[in-house]
Amino acid sequence: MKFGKARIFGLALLFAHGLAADWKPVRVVGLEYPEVALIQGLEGTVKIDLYIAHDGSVIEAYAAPREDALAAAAVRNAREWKFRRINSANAGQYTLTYRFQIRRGEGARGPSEFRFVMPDQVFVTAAERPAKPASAKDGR
Amino acid sequence: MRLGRFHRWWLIIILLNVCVPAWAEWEPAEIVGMAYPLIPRMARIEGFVIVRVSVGPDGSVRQAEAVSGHPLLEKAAEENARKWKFKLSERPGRARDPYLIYRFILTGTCAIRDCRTSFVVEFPKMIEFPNLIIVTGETHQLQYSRSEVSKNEVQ
Repeated sequence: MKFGKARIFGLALLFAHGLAADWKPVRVVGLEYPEVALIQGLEGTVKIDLYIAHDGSVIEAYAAPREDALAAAAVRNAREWKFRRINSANAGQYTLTYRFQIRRGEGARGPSEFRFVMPDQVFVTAAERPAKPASAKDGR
Repeated sequence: MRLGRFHRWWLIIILLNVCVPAWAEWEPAEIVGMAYPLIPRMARIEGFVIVRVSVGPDGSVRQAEAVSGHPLLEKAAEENARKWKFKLSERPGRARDPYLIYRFILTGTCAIRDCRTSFVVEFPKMIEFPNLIIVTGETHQLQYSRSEVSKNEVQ
């Protein structure tokens, strides 16, 4: 079988097409700042690697180097998302970046806030948990 | 020039392809979450709110106006829609105003300090069908039922 230039180019194109699996989120699930992390004062960035099935649902989500409340919350949240494929790929990967941030200072108030910026940035902010007053500690 | 039958069909097919469906759309670029607002939650108000959004050239929301829904929910939905940002899809043409459909659902009751709300956005596959936002919440349990009250009294 002869491989002319055109045929090789075509095959290469097909291959590249399959490799570059592009996915687009079609179901975005909100997330509240985990209470435990808020009490501990935990904040930071969590990168979640998603493995996506043929139908766009998430097979598995990993937060490789981290094992804390934030990573756990992010993984639990990421599993509920759904994606749609843009080009022809059988299954694929996606990376979501969660940025957890605590609003500090006197003006910091209000509930936890969720913001998703296309295509893969998730921002979760919440107000600082007020320290318990001394009278409450003493109790009785 | 006379066209043969074969060529005529080709011409029609090509024309259809050119004319039919390609117009630009505003696609959400930045989604902001919301909680089930307190007052409708306590009043046990559920339902749909449809918000029509007019988008400025830079993608920020210029105006958000509820088309239908309960007034208390409308207010919250509009407020949320104003925080969103949009971008133009890569198709030629002028985009129409996007719609956001909010669906508020109440599920069960909760203790006053510990009410959960959740927020989900779905983009269905069809171009015509707009963005669906599902906000679920829980209602406060304000009264005991009679039997519970009497039990407490007995104890």
